[in-house]
Amino acid sequence: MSDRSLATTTASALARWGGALLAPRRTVAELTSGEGKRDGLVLGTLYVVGTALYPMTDTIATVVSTHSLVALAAGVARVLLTPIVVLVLVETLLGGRRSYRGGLFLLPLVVIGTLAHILTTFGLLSIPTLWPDFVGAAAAGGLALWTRKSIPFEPATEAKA
Amino acid sequence: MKRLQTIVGAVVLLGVLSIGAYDAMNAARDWDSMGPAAPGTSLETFAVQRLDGERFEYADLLGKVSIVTFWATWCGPCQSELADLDELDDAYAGRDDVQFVAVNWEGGGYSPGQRRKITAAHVQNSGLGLPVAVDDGAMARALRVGAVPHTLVVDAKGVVRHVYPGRVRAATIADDITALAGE
Repeated sequence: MSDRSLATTTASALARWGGALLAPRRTVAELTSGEGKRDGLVLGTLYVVGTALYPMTDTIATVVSTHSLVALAAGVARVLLTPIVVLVLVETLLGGRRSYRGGLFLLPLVVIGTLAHILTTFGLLSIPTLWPDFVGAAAAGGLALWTRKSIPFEPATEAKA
Repeated sequence: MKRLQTIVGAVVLLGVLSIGAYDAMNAARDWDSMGPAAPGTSLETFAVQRLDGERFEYADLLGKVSIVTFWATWCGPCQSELADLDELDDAYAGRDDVQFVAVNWEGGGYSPGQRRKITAAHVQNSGLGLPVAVDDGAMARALRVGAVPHTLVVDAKGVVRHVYPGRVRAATIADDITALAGE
């Protein structure tokens, strides 16, 4: 990918994510079919960076000192469980022909999870560990339900239908 | 509107990357104290209390290969592992150079009395035959036990030789005992 196309892709992603937060229905309705194909992967990665980098490093330290694949699998599963469950939830709510947009709906989870992590890290918020995940999942599900009618069917499946 | 959207998207990305960088710096600083205590760690400060009230400490580890497993009553894999270790303990019943200790680490929120009561009731109900001790959290913290079950194989000098976070097979422990007992 050239610098120019990387900059274009990044700008397009930022506008898409901002749009999904500010004007979700209009944004998902106006997206072209090629846009946001990797949102699930990118936002899933951002969720890990924003909320779980420290525990992931702890998992790596455990694996380095014990050579335990069980610890590796458990650590990775613990971190990835939430985004995977939320992705399955929103794709189910969107339905088969709109589920291709599921990745974008990880955004509320990323925002709420990261914000809660920042506030708890600096002692500004004290809440049970799983609350941000529950609230983020609920927000993602709510957003998916609210916008689903605005999402056009996936072109290939529309043709089949 | 598009410009505002881009700004909001950029703020989200910047927030994520900023806290990620902060966590990465902290993780780099704490690297040496992350993960469980590694093989080679001496258990000189080891001390827990057996269910019968006796202390079990470093001196009790010397001269024997010790299998020390941290467990909790609410942990399913722990029960399965304890059953395996119980059988293994029976298999080594005639050997005074091998010992097993199941250290209950129930987690926070209990008084020492409650912890002992919960553990004793569980041992009685499950018919566990292994020697059981109770940790108030101090040993688990010192050995950086992240989750249970967590098993240590300790040599006759009181030095940790193998660390198994998570469920470990009895055959693996038996192999470790054979190797260490021959040293």
